[in-house]
Amino acid sequence: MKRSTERILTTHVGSLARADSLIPLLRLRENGQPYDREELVKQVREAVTDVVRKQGEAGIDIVTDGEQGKASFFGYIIERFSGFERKPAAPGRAPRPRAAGREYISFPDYYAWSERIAEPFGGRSGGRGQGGVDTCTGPVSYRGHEAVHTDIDNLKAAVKGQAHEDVFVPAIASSYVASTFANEYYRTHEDYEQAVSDAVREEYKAIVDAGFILQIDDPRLVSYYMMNPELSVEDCRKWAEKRVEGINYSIRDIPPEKIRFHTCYSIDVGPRIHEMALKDIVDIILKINAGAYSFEAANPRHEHEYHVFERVKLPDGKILIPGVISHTTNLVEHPELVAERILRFAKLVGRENVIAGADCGFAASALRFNDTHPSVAWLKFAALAEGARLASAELWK
Amino acid sequence: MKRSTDRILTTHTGSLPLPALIRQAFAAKRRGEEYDQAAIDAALTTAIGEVVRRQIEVGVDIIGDGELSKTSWNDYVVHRLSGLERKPRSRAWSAEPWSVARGILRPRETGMARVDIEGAPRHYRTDIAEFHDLARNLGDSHDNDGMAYVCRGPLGWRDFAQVETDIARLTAAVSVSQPHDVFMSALSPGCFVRFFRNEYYPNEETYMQAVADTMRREYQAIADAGFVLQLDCPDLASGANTDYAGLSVKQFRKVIERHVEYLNYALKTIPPEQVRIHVCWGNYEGPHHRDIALRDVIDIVLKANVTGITIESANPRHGHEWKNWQELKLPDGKILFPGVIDDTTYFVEHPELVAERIVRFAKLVGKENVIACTDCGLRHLPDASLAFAKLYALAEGARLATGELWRG
Repeated sequence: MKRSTERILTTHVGSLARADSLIPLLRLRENGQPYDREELVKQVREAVTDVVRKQGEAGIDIVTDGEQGKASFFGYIIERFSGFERKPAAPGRAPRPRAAGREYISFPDYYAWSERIAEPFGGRSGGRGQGGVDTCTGPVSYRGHEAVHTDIDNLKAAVKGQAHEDVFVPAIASSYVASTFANEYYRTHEDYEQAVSDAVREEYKAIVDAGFILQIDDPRLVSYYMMNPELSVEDCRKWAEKRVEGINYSIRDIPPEKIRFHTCYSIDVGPRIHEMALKDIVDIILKINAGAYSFEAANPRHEHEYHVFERVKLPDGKILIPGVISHTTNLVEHPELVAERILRFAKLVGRENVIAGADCGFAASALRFNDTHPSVAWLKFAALAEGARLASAELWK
Repeated sequence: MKRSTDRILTTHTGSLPLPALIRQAFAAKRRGEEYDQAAIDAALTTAIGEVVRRQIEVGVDIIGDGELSKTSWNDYVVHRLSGLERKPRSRAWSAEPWSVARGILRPRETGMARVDIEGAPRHYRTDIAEFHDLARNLGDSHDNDGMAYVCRGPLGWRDFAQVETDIARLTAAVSVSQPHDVFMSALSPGCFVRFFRNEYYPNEETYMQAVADTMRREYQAIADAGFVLQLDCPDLASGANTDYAGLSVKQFRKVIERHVEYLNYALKTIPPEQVRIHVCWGNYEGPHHRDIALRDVIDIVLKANVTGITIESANPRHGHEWKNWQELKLPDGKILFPGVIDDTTYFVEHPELVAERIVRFAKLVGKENVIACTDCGLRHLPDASLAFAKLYALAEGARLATGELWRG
């Protein structure tokens, strides 16, 4: 994993808006309906080339495929893992668990409005929950070898000849899958999570073997508190400790410097007054055997949390990838503000231990409404790169 | 005007979410349909009492009436003045549905009136206009809102009683709730000429003079009521990428220098310590990457003969400009009201972030010269509980900042 040895490097979280023509194909595949496979393959390949080129032009150093071939950051489970099927939610289990969370309870009118405005554009769930929920009903194993190699080949072809420092590929965390999709097969949750860990590991290894940086996504690690109003911070810490053990099991022989970990609180903008504070979970996050950690630090609910690193020491060799641009606002961050945010972290943990990132993906699901307009993401990337240049000039002067 | 002498005071820039009944009545009014004024009046008396109480409850020190009686911060004058006439717009921007859903372009705004500067190309908002997906130029207007008001006769008050009613309602509400201080907003002369084009007066100078002479009656009445008068002056910043988009920075500065001259003229009988101006770059969640920099206009803004200056400082396009005050000097006696709450995001700012923003300003210009404010109005927030949650975060942040600034 490259680090910011001579200047502040830039990256982002992964997803980017899919082309209008690609969305119907992804939707058909996501819904298990017939689709033109060749057309999808062709369009994804072209889209990956396009977004890699644009990332380079905007000044992103550590690039990715924008998750162009995936319906969402976790929506490829059914396709790539055996043992899951889509079925109606079990009685008493909400198809939209967030609706039972602290946020919805505190701001019911806001969230009703938020759902309503998104409806004509695929809604907030992208149709999930309507066709049922992904549920584990049999032994879990990985069957996505071909799919992940297509991702890898597309990305290899796209970065060829393009200036870049590194390439990363996001993949879902076992802990996210096991705590999001109901288990009706394994005797215990631990057995289920271990089986998922063994399966996702196949995908992780393929990504690392291709020479790319593996990014493990687990938003549930920090959002569990918000989604479970009956649990205390301490309860959630205990829960998270277990999940980190599972993540570490899934990456047990992959070198940490090949892995970065991303967590975040929510895709959508919202009041967000009930989110777990970074100070309450940072020690647990840092136990993940990754080389770098990507987290929200640019939005108004988490921007002050750089102060956490005044008290917490970043372990030697580790890298922070704080979000310095936000996917939830269409305002393009001023480069000087981006630089300021980078400098705050660099001064606390060392410039060579900071890579400038984003709070979350700009199109975490292709099939749903996302809060920033696709065209705005590219302006934000340019602001990110310009801000990193300003910060580098200050830090290496 | 109260200052932060022993703690950081809090306020906002004026508008707050409308109760549903009033919102629906305004929509009818704007479309030129029948509406029940008596029902609006009755609802307003209750609603203003309620909105005053809620502001105090969440910890806002300098409170207002939420502009609940006004169709908007600028076009309320067309219902009160004579000399302004409706005229179909020759061209209108239509919002792409996505940006309407997201609140970037609100349908209402696509019919916003504009003023042209001779020789300048007509632009809507240059940042949005660059994105064909965000806004579409439809040529001739099709929507009912595609009406502009222009000045086609001598300006004068046709219904000054509406101003007096606003004042009476707020006076009644605060006599019950007893806030720390009270403010009321009004349209500045510069914004008036920006929004309402002159087709009557022989030249721009006489038009501006007439605008200032007419509007000062409202300003005086608000001041005489003992309220802090807030004049809304987005022309001094957001004008640069909208109505005056064709101008160079130098030319734009000339325009706003003249606006400030007429502002000072209109305020000549009102003590500066009773007045604050509100400066912003437009209350919408667009890219804003074409906004003029604060440093290009602030020296002119500071020429306004007023004590208080509220400026957007919280949102991601202007969040870095606090640093300008490392070089700038706030003239003696003036009070800076930096925005520490970004009204374009539905996030509720963390109070510790609010405190950090306040402390930065306090360290540069002096804690007694800072009052914590919002970037702009909160009316467009989808839910009143969200608006008040943000104002609560503002007050909570001010308490934290006070703890830090007045420590030992």
